[in-house]
Amino acid sequence: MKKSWLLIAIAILAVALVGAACTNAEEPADPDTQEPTETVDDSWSKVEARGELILGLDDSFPPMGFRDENNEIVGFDIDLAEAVCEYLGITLTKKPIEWSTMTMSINTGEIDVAWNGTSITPERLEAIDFTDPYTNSTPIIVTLADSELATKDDLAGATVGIQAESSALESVEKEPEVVESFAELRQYSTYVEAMTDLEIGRIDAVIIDSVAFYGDFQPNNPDAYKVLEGEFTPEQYAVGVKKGADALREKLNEALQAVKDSGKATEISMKWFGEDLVI
Amino acid sequence: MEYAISILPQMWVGVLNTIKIYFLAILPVLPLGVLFAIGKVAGPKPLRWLLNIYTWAWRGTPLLLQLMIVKFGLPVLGINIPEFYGAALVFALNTSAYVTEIMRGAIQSIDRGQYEAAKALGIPYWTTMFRIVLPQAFRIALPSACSEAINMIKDTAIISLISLQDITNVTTQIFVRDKNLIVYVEAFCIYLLLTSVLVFIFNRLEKRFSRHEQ
Amino acid sequence: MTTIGEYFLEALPLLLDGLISTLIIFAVVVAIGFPLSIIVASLKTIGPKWLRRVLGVYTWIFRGTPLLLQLVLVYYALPTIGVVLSDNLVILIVYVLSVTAYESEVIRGGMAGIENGQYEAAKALGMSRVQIMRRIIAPQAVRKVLPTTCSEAIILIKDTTLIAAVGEFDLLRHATSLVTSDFRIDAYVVALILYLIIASILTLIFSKLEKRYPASI
Repeated sequence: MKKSWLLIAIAILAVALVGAACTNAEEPADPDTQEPTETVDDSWSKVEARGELILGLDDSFPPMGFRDENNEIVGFDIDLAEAVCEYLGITLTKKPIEWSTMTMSINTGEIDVAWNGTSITPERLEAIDFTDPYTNSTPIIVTLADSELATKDDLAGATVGIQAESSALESVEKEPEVVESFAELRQYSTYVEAMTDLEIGRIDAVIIDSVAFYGDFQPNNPDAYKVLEGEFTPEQYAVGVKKGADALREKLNEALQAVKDSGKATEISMKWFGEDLVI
Repeated sequence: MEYAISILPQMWVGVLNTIKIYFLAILPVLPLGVLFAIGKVAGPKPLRWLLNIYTWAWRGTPLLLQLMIVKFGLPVLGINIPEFYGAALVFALNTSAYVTEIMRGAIQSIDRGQYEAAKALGIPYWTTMFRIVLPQAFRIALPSACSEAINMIKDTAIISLISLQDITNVTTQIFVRDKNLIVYVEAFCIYLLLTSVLVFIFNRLEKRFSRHEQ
Repeated sequence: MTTIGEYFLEALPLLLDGLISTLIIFAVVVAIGFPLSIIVASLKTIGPKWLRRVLGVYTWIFRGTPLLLQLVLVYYALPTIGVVLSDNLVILIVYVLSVTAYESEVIRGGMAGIENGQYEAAKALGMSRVQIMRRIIAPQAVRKVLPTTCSEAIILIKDTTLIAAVGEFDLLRHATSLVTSDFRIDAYVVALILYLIIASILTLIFSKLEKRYPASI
C-alpha cells in the first residue's frame, strides 16, 4: 500500500517536472524571440528565401477555407491569399492545423500566417500580431423561417447554439447580461452541427458569423432561415502573424492593399459572397 | 445513394491515411510490448519503476491529451518531428503500454515451478525466460493483444482532431461542406468493414499460433 | 508569466467543473452498464440461438465503430427518422451500449473459461440453467475478469472526452478552451494530472476488489 502511494507521488512529480520544464523553457524563449526582431527582423526574408508562404487554417470553415470534392483546400481566404502570394512572387502552401491552438502553431514556426476568417481579438493580440483588416464579420442571430423569435431580446429564455472557440463566441461574451438571459448557450465544434441541431429543433437559434451564414448556409438553403433583428459587436478579419514579425506583416499589408486596389479582391468577394465585403 | 458514391473518392484519401498511420503505429507495438514486459518482470529495480511509470501514465490519460502534449510540448523542448510521425509515435507508445501490461500478466501467470525446474536442470535464467516462459506467455497474451490491435484502428479516429486527414477528419470536412448526414453513415460502414477485416486477419493469426500448442 | 503552481490553482475551478461532468457520466454508465453486461454475457452463453445471434450483431457493430461516430449518428442522424433524444439521453444510451458491448464480451470470455464439470455438477444437483448462471457461473466469471474490467473502466473515463461531439463539456474540452484563450498548454498538464489521479484511484479500488474477491477461491 505505502509503496504504491510513493510510486504515485513520484510519478506525479515526474509529470509536473515535465510541465515545469515546459514553462521554464518558454520563459527564456520569450526575450529570445523578441531580441532578434529588434536587431534584425528576418520574418520576410525567410519567407522570400523559401519562396513559399505557409498558411495555417482549419480546413472545415466554409466559405473561408474548406475542402472541395477533389479534396483540394479552397475558399475566399485561400483565393485572397493566392492573389497576395502572386503579387509577392511566392507560392502558397496550405497547412491544416488544429485551430484552437493556432497561436501556438504560429509561435512554434509551424506556419507563417493564420488566415482563415481570423478575427482580431484582444486576447489574440497578446500572443500574435495582425495585418490590416480586409473584411468585417458580424455575429448575427439565425433561426428557422417559421420561428416565433423576431429580435435579439426574444432570445431571453431560449437555447442558443454557437461554435466553440469562435470569434462570434468572444463577441457574444462581451455581453454577459445577454448570455445570462439565455436558457443555455450550447457550444458546437462546427457551425454545421449547430445549424443541424437548429433544424432538428433541440435549439432555438444559432449565433453565427455573417460571412459564414451568407457565404455558406443561406445560398444552399435560401428559404429555410430567418435572421433576427439585432446583432453583436462586429469583428474584423485580418491575417495573423508571429509577434514582432513586422517585415512580413508590412509586406502582407502592401500586397493586400495592391490586391484591393486592382479590384481583384472585389472579384474574389463576388465569387464567394455575391457581394463586395472587402474593406 | 448517388451522393454516397460521389463522395467515395474523397473518403478513400481518409481510408488510406487511416491505414497508413495504423500500420506505422502497430509495427513497433509487439517488440516494444514484449521488451517492456520482460523489463517489468526481470529488469533491475530502477528500470522496473521507470516502466511502471510509463504504463501508468500512458494508460491513465486520454490519447488526445497525449497527442496535444507531444505536438506542442516537444517543440518547446526543441524536438521537432513531422506531425504524422509524431501521431504514429504516440499511438505506438500508447498501445505498447497496454500490450506491455497484457504480456506482463501472461509472463507472471506461468507457473513458478517451471523456473525452478529449469534451474534444477542447470538452465540459465535468461535462457529459461526466452526459450521456455516467453513462448508460452506469448500464446496466452495473443487473444488480448489482438483485441487491443483491433481497437487501435478506431482510436486512430482521434487524429482527426489534430487535423490529419483520416477517415473521421475527411468525414467532418465533407459534412461541413455538403451538410448531408449520409457521410457519417458511410464512415460508420467503412470502419465496420475495416475492423471486420482486422478481426478476420487476427483470428487466423491466433489459430496459427495456437496450432503449435500441442 | 505565472508558474505552473499558480496556474494550477487558477485553472482548477473550471477544470473541476469538467471533471464533475466526466465523473457523473462515468458513475451513471457504470451503474447501468455493469449489471447489464452480466445479463448480456449470460444471454450470450445460455440464451436461445436467435438471441445470441442478435447480441452478436450488436457487439460487432458497437465494438467495430468509433464511439465518436456512434454519438454523432445517434445525436444528429436519428432525428431524420423522427427520433429526437436530448443530449443527456444520447450520451447515456450510446455510452451504456458501447460499454456493455465490450464488457459483456469480457465477462463472456470469463464464463467460457469455467470448467464444464461445474455445469454438470450443478445440473446433477437439480439447478435450472438460470440458477446455475446466477449462482455459480456469473459470480466466478466476474471475479476472473476484474483486471480487464479495471482497464475497461479507465478507458471509459478517458472516452468521456468524446461528449464534446454533442456539445457537452468534459474535462479535456475545458482544458482545450483554456489553452485557446490563454495560449499556453499548461491547462493540458493540469488535465493530465487530474486524469492520472482518477486512473490511479480506480486502479487502487480494483486492486482492493481483487484482493477481496480473488479469482480462485
